[in-house]
Amino acid sequence: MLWCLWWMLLPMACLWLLALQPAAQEAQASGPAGPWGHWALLGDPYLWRLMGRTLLMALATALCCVLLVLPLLSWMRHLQAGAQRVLLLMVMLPCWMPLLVRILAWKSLLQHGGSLSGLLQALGLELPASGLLYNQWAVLLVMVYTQLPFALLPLHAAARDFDPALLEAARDLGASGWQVFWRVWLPGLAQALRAAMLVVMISTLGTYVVSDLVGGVDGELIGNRLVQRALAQRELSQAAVMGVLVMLLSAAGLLLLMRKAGPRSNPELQSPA
Amino acid sequence: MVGGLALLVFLYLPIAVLVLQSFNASRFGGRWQGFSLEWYARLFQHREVMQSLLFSLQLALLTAVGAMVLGTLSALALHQQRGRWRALHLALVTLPTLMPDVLMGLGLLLWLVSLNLPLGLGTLWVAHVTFSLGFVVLCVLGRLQQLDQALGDAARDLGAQGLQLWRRVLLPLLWPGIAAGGLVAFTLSLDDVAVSFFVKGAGESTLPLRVYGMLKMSRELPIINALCSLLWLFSALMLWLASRLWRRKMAH
Repeated sequence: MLWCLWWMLLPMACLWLLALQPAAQEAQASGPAGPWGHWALLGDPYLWRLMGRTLLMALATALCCVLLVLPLLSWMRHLQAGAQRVLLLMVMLPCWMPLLVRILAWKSLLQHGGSLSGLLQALGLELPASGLLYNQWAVLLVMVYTQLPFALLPLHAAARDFDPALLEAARDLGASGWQVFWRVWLPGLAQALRAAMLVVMISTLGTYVVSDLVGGVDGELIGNRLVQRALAQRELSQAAVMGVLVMLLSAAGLLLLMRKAGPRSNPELQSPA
Repeated sequence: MVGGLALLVFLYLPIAVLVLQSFNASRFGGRWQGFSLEWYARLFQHREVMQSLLFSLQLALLTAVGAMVLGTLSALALHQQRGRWRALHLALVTLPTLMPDVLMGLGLLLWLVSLNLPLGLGTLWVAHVTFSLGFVVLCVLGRLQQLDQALGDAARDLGAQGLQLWRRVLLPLLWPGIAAGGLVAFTLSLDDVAVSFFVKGAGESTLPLRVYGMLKMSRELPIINALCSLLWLFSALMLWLASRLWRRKMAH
């Protein structure tokens, strides 16, 4: 049992790092306007616009992910177990691609002279010079593509555990296909839906690679700002302030996640069992 | 069903185009100018890329080993703990799997800077072990929960002790879980950009970071196409292996 205490220390350390963030800023504060100069950042309206955009992006990504996954799951429930497994594997396979591969794939598809813009041009649509890249929509698209597994896994686990007898009962009681979907199946998945959306949102909050590669000026997110401050300009304290903002947001999401999922059912932690 | 099929198209179209493009003789992608293996040949002659590949493989291997050892021990402890401590421990171990990348990267960077540690392979290793530990723990823990408690007891009754119990009973029973976790850790380490970007320092670059830089400069895109096609194949293979191992639980 001594072992376990000892081995708790390493993961512990990683949490402490985060807790240390505010302290680290205080120690390093050597900004132009006194020890708390870097907090003046909070007065910058652009920062808040960025935060707003990041939140909106997270929300939109989560919604799109869920909307894409739901039809798949409702299709799956009509299939045999074997076919279900094959389908799940087929969906998961591209999801496990390295992040950069996924980004590059879309980039080459969307770029000027790429296949998709060629197709659109053939249809007679005018395109901007940069092709379809470097805007918010490109960021959203790629973000959805990269975050999909986080929505798929909890939802799939919930859908698998959903008692099919309930659906049969509903049908026997005279519910139509749509009614079964809306009134029985969807409410049954409500908890997993909420969990999936929160998980996607939390991990979207801190992404910067996607927006860096396919986003333009209006695709910039808080993460990009943070990285730029921390690494390009070596303004660690300012970066830490933004880090605290992101941390507060994701902690809020995490709390929500734990409360909603509750101790009774936590699909994520129990799914490997 | 239409929705499901649409999702599959959405998922596979970009990769299909990517792989196709990697065989395209054209320098700039886009229009098809005939089949060619030139980019693959050029890829293997690209010194910087090959160097980063070796570095990344080394790092991924070390990460997998570190995460497997720590993860297994942590899972064993978790299996015996109860109540508040267990919840805390589990939360600590699994939190990094959920945490936004920038937070993880920045937190580690600040901590390492304040510790005065030089950034490099060591710090990359620490970061990678930290974010992949949770996956190993979950894999091994799942395995442990299926394990028949009686097996351990029986071995103990028959006189197995300490190391022997470990080597002859626990490890053989647990290894599919451990190995699956290790494979996931390996793949994650080979894939990570966001966290590594913070803690890599001035030295050797990992493969994903190298590709990231090349992508940003839009340099040598056809070579990256070829590289990415191979990477995709490789990580798919790894995860297929991991899930095979994972599924082995049925056998017992």
